[in-house]
Amino acid sequence: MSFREIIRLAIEALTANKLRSGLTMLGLIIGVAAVVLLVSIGEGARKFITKEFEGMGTNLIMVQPGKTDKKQRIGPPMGGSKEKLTLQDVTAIERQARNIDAVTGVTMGSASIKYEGAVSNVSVLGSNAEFIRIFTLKLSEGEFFGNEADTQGRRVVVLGVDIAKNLFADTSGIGKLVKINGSEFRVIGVTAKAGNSLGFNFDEIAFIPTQASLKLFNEDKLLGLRAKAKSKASVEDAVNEVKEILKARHNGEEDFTVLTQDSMLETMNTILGMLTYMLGAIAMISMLVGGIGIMNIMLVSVTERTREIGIRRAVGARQKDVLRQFLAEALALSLVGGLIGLLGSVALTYLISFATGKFDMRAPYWILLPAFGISSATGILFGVWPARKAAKIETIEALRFE
Amino acid sequence: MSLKSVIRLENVTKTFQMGGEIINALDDVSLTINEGEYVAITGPSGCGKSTLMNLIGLLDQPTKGRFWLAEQETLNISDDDRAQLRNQYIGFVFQNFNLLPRASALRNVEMPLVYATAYDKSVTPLVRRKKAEEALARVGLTDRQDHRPNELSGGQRQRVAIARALVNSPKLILGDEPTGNLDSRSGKDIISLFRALHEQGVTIVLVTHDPVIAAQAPRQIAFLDGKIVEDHHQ
Repeated sequence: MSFREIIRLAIEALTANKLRSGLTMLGLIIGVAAVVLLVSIGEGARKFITKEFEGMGTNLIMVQPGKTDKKQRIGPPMGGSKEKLTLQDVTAIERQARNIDAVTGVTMGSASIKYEGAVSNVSVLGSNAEFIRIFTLKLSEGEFFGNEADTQGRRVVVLGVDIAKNLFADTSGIGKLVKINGSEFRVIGVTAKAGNSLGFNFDEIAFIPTQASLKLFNEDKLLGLRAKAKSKASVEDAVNEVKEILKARHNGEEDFTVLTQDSMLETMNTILGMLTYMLGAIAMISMLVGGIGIMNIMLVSVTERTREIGIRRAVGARQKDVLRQFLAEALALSLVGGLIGLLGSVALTYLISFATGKFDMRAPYWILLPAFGISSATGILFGVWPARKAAKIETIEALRFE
Repeated sequence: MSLKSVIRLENVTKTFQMGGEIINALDDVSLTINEGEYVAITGPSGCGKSTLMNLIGLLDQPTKGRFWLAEQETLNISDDDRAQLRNQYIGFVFQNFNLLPRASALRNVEMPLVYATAYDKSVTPLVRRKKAEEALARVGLTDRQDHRPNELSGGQRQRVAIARALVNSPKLILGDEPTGNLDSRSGKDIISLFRALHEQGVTIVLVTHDPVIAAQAPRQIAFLDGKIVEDHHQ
């Protein structure tokens, strides 16, 4: 039997029972669509998070006290270890590092902030004047504090836009005195709305100079250092420089961890990539179900057409001709189903991406071939058994079959 | 000039097991049918004539004995070879027509040629169609070639089946009660078709229990309990 004839028979058989073929295909359509959609969502999430990460500032370098294996931890290790990073470390980097554009120590604490009757519980972040450059923070009003404000330990504050709204409603808070944990601070700026970025919301943070913050929280060590390399290319050099400088200051011991945006992004990407694969693998279960659907309907079809098989064998069909005929039917079901599922789900991801605007979950090209390949393989895999069963039917028995 | 045999059976026995009891459907049968013969095989049901037809048609294998089809030993040939012999040498006509219900008359007639392509590449779809049309013309159904079996009368269906049997120019046409499901007029038409084919040199073996039809055949073989009880040349 020629290839052309096999295709023709398969198409005839499938169109002879359109509803049944359609429903059988539906299983695989859903399977393929589930794989494409879940992988697209995973990829979309990865792209989204990468973008957010890059939005935090470019060429960012983070130094945390304490040695950690960065391969095993996500994000910056939290402070509280006995190893210290101090303002002197910041100054040393500022003076010696040639590949560092800006550096600041940071502290973090929660405090209550009061103005007349209004009270807010907020996070207070201590930093020097460079913070605004390192994190590309934007202000809507006033200005960020300068370096002299920090070194002189002046009590000034830049309020996150949500805090300012809470305390001063619609009036300007610039120049007003607010009480942070009882100490008076003068408001000199308000941030522009930035929104949530990786669970970190600048709109709800009060920024004060480091000296003032160390005094406020009665601390002598920093949460960590944040620095910005001069360029993307110099990040690696800058990291090495920072390491050398700090090691020299810490008796040659590397009791701190240096993280770059790239290394964190890499870790994040690895995790999200795994998540994407996992989602795809889970979706493959539905492909399996679709395949079982094909096998089921093919078995029914073989039984129903036992007599046809007998007639074909009597006029000269070999076992392999019968096998090919039924295998082609299963394959046609899975190919058409796979194609519909693929086109439908890809179209859907584009539609959702354009409709939401923000969340780009357009199907990645690399998923198309595997998704289609696996659905076709499913057809062959689950079609083989019914087809073999058809081929093995005894001709005389088949001819007597009612 | 020695005649070529189309069918040669030597001491063929076929046994079936039925509820613990062993039944000899064919009991040590020896039989030769030569090229160009027209043979009617008669006997009551259960006498073994259908079993004989299945063996001759290579749909079944004997328990004991040897069988040559077109002077070719068939005892130890593969399933594929049997399929090829069925395709190239034999045309089947069944009592219940055995047409594909979804396919048109033309497609039904074409079917053996679809499998003949494996042995003869010159059987292209175009050649196939032409041969099928010719075969339908020989049974007088040119105007019915696009009808499906359920749109045809019983006699017409059997003529389609005959067209299918002869489309690949077989040496041998086997008819298993070909008139069993037909009224007497249609039955007569079918028998005259067989006679016409016989006149064109095709070997014909019919199984029937209708004595009128059997009487038309130049050679009649009667079976009883798996044995030949009469072999009569007119």
